Amino acid sequence: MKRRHYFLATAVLGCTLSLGLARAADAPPTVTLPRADYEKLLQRMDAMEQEMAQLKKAQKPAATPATAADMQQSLAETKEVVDDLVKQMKHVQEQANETSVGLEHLLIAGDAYVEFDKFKGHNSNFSARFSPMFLYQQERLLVEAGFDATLNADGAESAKTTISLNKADASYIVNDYVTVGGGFFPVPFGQYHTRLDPKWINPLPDDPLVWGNQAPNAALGAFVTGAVPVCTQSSINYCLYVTDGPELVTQDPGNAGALRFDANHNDFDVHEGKAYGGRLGFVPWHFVEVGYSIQYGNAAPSGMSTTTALVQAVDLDFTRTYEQIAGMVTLRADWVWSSVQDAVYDPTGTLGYGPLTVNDNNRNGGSALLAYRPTLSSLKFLRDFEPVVRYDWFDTPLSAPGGAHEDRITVGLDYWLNPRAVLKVAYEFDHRTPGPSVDALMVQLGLGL
Amino acid sequence: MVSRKTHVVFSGLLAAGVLLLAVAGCATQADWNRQTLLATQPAPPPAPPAAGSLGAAELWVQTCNRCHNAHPANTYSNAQWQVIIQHMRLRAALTADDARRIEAYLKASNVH
Repeated sequence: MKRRHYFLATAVLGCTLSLGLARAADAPPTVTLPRADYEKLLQRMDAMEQEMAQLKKAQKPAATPATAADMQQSLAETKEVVDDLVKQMKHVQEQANETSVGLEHLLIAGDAYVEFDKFKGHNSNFSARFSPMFLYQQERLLVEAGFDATLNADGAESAKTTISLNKADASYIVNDYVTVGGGFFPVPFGQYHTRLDPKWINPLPDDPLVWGNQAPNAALGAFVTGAVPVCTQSSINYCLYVTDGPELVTQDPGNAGALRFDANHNDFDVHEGKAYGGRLGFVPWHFVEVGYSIQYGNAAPSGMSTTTALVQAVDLDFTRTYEQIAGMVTLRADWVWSSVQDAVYDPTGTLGYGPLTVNDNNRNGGSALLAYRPTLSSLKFLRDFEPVVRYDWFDTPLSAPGGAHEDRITVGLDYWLNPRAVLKVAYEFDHRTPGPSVDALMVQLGLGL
Repeated sequence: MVSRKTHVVFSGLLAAGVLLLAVAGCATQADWNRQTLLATQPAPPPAPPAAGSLGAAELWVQTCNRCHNAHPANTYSNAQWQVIIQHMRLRAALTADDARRIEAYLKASNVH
């Protein structure tokens, strides 16, 4: 029995030792620190606990809704201050712009062009024109002045420079519906010469036949003009004027009976008779305008008995962008007709072609222009191209000197370099009876200043 | 020696000037002081468009494009736009209200 007790005692001791060794192996190794280091560690731990407590304290209010509202209010106040500053700066800038004197109210605008043309049967020709326009505004007063400086190097003749005044007028806004003015101004007869003839506006390089031949362009006189709204988008505009009027051609046997409107012409005769006229325009929507013009007066030059001329015109201008065709369509049309009283030209025969009686001296001409610019095209390079086609004609009575029928079809392609610069290439098919017909190729760079 | 044409041009301008000054004098005498005072005040905001009429941007595009490409607002300074709009009001026969709305729109959009 004693042996069994020893054996059991040995087994229990062995197990206890084994368990003790196993626990000793799992426990972390004991590190022995000097007292000073231990104190330092305790201090650092205290410091970290304090920092953590402060951080918690600082973070805790940010999470509360009341402080978020404060921040939003603060932001709103800052934004209000900034907006106010911007508003004040803009106001100061506007005041500086609008109350300054001198050059701020003087503007130089106008247009220019460079052209190459080749008319069938003639030498090719380069030409250039610079037409500055000076505008000066003082409250309701506006002064306009402009001139054309043209250099035309015709291969058939010598190169020549011409400088001519194209406007020098002043106008005053009396009220919302009346503006009065006078001087040398573009005659508001039709729309072409008042609005559409600058080379950066006209989609083709040259003028329609009738506007270069038989319609008022610029004249000396006075005018009253204005516009009155009639509905939300409609308006009526008017212009009444009195000018020195046109002059009947009597000195040129080949053109006797024609009306000359160019007051800049060297031998233009300023006679006693005045021309009275006006235009009534209707704008049903802002993208379209139609108008009727009339002018009446004595056109006889000095020394010739009174011979009256009546000139009338209707015009249409339409420009609108349609999404369905991804672009802008321009349609312009006009018709001008004139009637000159029957007269005897060179009655004494001193000019060598008379006496010549011209009856039924009625002339008429017109034009229709269609242009399309794919401004909404998905192909970016196409947006600046604008194909143009125009039909124009001019009839002179066959019984009158120089009598003929002439009509032209002009096709062109424009490329817009920017809103005020356009490169045009056009070909004109001319048909004149009696001949000769003169087709033409024209390349022109038109610029708005 | 002044040519006859030059004489005629300047005579015409002079006559027109006298006429304009006479009309201008009658029209502005009464409210000159008021206008001077108003000129120092900021311009009032443009009136909102009437029902059925175009917005200012559409009005600007449609009106200008009828004859030529509409110019961006930053083409001219605000003072220059004032001159241009008066010129266009004369040449294109704009109504006074349309001219004011287009001018206000261009000035407000100007980044000059």
